[in-house]
Amino acid sequence: MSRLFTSYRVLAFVVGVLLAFCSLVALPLKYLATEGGDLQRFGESASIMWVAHGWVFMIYVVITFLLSRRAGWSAPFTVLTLAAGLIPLIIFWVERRVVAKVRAEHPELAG
Amino acid sequence: MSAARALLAPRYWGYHLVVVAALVVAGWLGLWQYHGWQERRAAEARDLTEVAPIALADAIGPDDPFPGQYVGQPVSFEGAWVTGATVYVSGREHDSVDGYWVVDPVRIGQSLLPVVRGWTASTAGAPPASGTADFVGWLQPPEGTGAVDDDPGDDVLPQLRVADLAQRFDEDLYGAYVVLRDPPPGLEQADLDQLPPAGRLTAVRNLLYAFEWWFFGLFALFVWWRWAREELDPAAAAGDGR
Repeated sequence: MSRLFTSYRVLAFVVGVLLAFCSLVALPLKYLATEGGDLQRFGESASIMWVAHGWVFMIYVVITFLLSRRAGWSAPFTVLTLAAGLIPLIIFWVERRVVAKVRAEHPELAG
Repeated sequence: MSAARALLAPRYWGYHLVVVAALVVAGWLGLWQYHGWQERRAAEARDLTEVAPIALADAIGPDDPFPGQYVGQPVSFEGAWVTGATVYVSGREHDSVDGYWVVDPVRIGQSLLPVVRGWTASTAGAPPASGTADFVGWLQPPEGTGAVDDDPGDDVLPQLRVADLAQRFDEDLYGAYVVLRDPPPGLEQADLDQLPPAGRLTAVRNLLYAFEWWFFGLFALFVWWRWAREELDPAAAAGDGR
């Protein structure tokens, strides 16, 4: 299995989990939980994970772009996979499509 | 046709414009975050000067080296003014006006602590200091800028250095000075020279976001470069397989 393809899958998973945690757990707790309560404070400190998401996303963008060039994706599909790292939960679905696409079109990349 | 000339063809202008716009936007957003980082740290430093005062003795003793963690710390103490010992420290700005700090020593036990009573525009007319009082002020490390006193005979000093003051008094001096929070009538409150250090992690998110934006700017440039290579020479770009 090519290192690029494996890196893409791992990064997509990490970005997806971080984004889901930040936007679906930390964010609602920070703004919707009772002000000053334990949950609200947890949401506030957990918001630091946005930084982790941002930095992993940077690596994800580069790796995904390199994979896109290697596999010869169209511009719209490349943009979709890049942007998927910013929309909660979508990235898990996109990752499955990418895996199917690479396996069908470039089996040598998917190994 | 050379590669550079081919890229200048009008049908490519739109692509170039998009990359330039992406670079400008990412650079600007990065700068915005970077400034946010600086401002929040400065704000925290100001906030730290407004915490409740601690006893001077808890921060520094007469013979202690200056405690770095207490730069700008509000302190309270009781002492007696040493009368007739006023010195002026020159070159002090307040509201963009050049003036002087009015400094008098306060006797605490057996030692003297230099206290900046306030700021004045001229060396004339500072009210004399006398009596015993409770003081509240900000602890500051002594200065040592190496400025030369052009007239060692007068009461005007170029900096607040303990060694300079030690020549004027026989008693032991603290290795620190204090800027008084409530200046006497006729004097303005002196501005703090050294604010407390902001925490190392204060607003670090803004700094990390700034780097992220600049990184995305570089990424846009990289995408543009790959695109240009493939556009000009599809065979070579596909052939190198990377």
